[in-house]
Amino acid sequence: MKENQQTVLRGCWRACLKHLALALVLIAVGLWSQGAYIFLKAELGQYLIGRAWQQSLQSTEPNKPWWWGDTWPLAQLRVPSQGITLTVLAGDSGQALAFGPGHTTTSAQPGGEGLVLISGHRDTHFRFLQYLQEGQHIILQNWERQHTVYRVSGMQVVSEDVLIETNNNIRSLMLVTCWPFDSSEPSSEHRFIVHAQAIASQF
Amino acid sequence: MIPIFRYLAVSLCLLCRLSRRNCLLLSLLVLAVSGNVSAGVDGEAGNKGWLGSAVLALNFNDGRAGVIAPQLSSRVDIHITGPIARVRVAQTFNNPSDAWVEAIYTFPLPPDSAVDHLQIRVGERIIEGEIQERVAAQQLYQEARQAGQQAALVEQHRANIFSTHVANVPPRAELTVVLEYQQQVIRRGSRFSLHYPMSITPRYTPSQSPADTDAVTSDKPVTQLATVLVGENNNATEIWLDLQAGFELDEVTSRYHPVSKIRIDDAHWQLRLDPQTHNANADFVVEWQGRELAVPQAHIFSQSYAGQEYALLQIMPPQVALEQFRQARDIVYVIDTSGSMGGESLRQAKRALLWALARLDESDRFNIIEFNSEAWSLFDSERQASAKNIVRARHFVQNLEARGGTEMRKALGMALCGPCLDNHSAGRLRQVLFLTDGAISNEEQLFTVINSKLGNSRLFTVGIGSAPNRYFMRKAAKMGRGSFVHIGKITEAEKKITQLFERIDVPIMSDIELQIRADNVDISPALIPDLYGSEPLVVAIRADDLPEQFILRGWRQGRLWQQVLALSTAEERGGIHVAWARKKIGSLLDERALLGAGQARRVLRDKVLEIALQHLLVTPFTSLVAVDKMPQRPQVAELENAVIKNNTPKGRQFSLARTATGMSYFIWLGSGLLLLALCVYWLSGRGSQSS
Repeated sequence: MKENQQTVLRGCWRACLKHLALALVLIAVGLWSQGAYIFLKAELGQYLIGRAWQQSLQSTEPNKPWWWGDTWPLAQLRVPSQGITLTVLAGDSGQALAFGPGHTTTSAQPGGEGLVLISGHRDTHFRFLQYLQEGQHIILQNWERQHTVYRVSGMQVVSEDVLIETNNNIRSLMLVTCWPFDSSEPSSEHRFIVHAQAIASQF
Repeated sequence: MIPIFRYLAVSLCLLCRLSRRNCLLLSLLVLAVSGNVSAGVDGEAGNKGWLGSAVLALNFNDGRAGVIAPQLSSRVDIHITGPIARVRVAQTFNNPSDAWVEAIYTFPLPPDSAVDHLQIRVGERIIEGEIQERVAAQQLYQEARQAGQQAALVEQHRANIFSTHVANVPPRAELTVVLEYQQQVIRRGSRFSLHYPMSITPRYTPSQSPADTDAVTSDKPVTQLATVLVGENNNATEIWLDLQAGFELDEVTSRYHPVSKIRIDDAHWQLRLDPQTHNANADFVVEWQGRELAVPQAHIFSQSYAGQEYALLQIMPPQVALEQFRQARDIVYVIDTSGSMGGESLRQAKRALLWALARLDESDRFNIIEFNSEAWSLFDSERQASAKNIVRARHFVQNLEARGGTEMRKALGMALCGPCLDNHSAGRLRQVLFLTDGAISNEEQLFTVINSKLGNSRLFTVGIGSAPNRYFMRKAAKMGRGSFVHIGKITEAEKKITQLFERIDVPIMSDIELQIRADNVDISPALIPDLYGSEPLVVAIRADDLPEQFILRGWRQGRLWQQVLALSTAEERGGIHVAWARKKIGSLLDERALLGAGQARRVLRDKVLEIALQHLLVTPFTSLVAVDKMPQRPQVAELENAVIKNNTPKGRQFSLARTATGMSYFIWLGSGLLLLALCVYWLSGRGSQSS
């Protein structure tokens, strides 16, 4: 009788542990897929957006990457020294940044006079910013096929609530991402800023 | 974040169906995990402790807010009088648009400073500020704003952030804000310094930047960067500084900027910073150092204000061969070993105590009292700091353990033994260091103990953690002629306690008294603390009519020391009445915090209000408001339908996007959980094998 009871108890305990393991696996899979989702969105997004960008270049008008999208490719950013080619989206909202670097709508248009402000995620598209060196070139192409070449003039780390003021008469580019780069947190109090100034533009 | 919770909920339901027995366990687990996840994310909101920049923002009537106005120039006048500095800042902005706007000027000030004067100049008009009760001031401002008058309101938000609202600024107008504030001079060792913030936006330099390290700013001229951060625009700042230190100066230097210096006499210098020759990348920092003194040197500054006379007495300790002036001490360390002190607090307190024991001089005598629900002492009375006694004390300290409650009265009664006189106590200073983290409730009783039993002792209180009743401890230290140190972060405990020990190491002069033949004399602090070798002593005095001579008296090396101080009315200095009023208000506010709601509390509030209104101070109960009596904005319905032709300032403003994802966070957490699941699975397998 007593032995029987013990067996039942032990069986119960085993079942508990098994279910616990199953629950943990489910949660782990959930977390994994959340991470993978972010990664896939960033990679696949760039692919789809790259296609839409090619179409925009041909039709010289904005072209949405998918029909329900609330953003569209605005420019192409190339950093030859880092082997980077990225399609920049209009708007720097969270939705846009998940798929590619975003252009702050209120800043100057790519190719135009003034400061062009582009932000990107530190763990996906703008991870390369940490390897950027002063003097390297960044090429920005707008959908009018106009290229502007910028030269990196400096980097800076600032607090996230800082306001950026610009002079509207200088053609310049500013790339923004979160700092520090190796942090895994989903938000940050600091931003890494790359300042670049236009040296040439050609059609 | 939301999809993952949905996912969790669905899997939870599935599992529940699988086995109802384990449902409770699982839901508990899920709750715990999701709680962790959200806590991890919420924690990111974090604390941004840095000061915002001094910025003028414009609000337009069409709802657009926060447009930053360009700054044109600023002029700063600094008057340093002994320990206090009076700063007058005049900043000129302009409204770049064609609309009437409300301007909001936000500025940081040094932590211990307060604005007491405000003037707004719009074109030819001058609006003077007046101190009003806070609510009344807000009302006055709103009324004026609605009526189309120019008005300004200064309010204190946090301890060091102030804002000024200016209503109805005309289009294209220049606006000058003149502010006056007072702050304490910073002292480090025998060096004194004053900072005026000029590099407004703080810069962070990445510590392990993989990018070219030279490229990472700070010493790089801003002009090379195409974009600049707000506040770093080329606003020319002219600074004029008048330094009267109250002692003979060895040197005066400006740390980052080239300045022109004029020497008036040994203790009086003037400095000027040319607006053309500097860049605004660094704060303006002036440092000065006194000549080494052989005897205490006292200097008195005075000012008459609103029918009464005010004076500030500064006593500088001698610096030459401090050891020679060292007075033998009796020291009693009282340490709280109640349960709440357990862990890091007690460990740090012990380390600080051991360090203090090592510093004791052979001629000193000491004792240690431990208290929790009871109180014990190491020796029955103070003993010589001989090698043998020190070893015993070290042993005692090392064996201290945290347990029990907090019964402070017994320990206080033991430490303060009244006159505490015995054969050896003559000419000695008796210091009691009281170290606790406890909240105190029976304050009145404790004050009674201090009052009746203080005798010739000095009481220094150290509060650890966030719990201690700071008002009580500060007042207790004031009554005990000592000082109070608050340690908010436990990790700083050892450092701060050690600093206190160092500071009170070398008593120079004790039982200091001032003899002033005048009516209605008010000295703040009422009980003058002792003079230590580490820092000058400052006393603020108010009287109806100050005599030409004061007598300063104190005990120095077992002998009475006396000095006659002459009051030179010839050179009046500004801000002395403010220094007195602020000391007074500080102690009244402490007093008030000790009282519960009731009549006495209201009486103290009225007292604070009276002093604040008389001395034009911004306090928790008062605001500075400035209203021009004449309406400026034409009485047309411009407010609703104004068309703003050009409202974009020269530069544009952007805030930064959020540029991080939790990708690696999720993947790491997922991997961890997977590993945990494997372990649990393995455990359940092992259970079946053994049966």
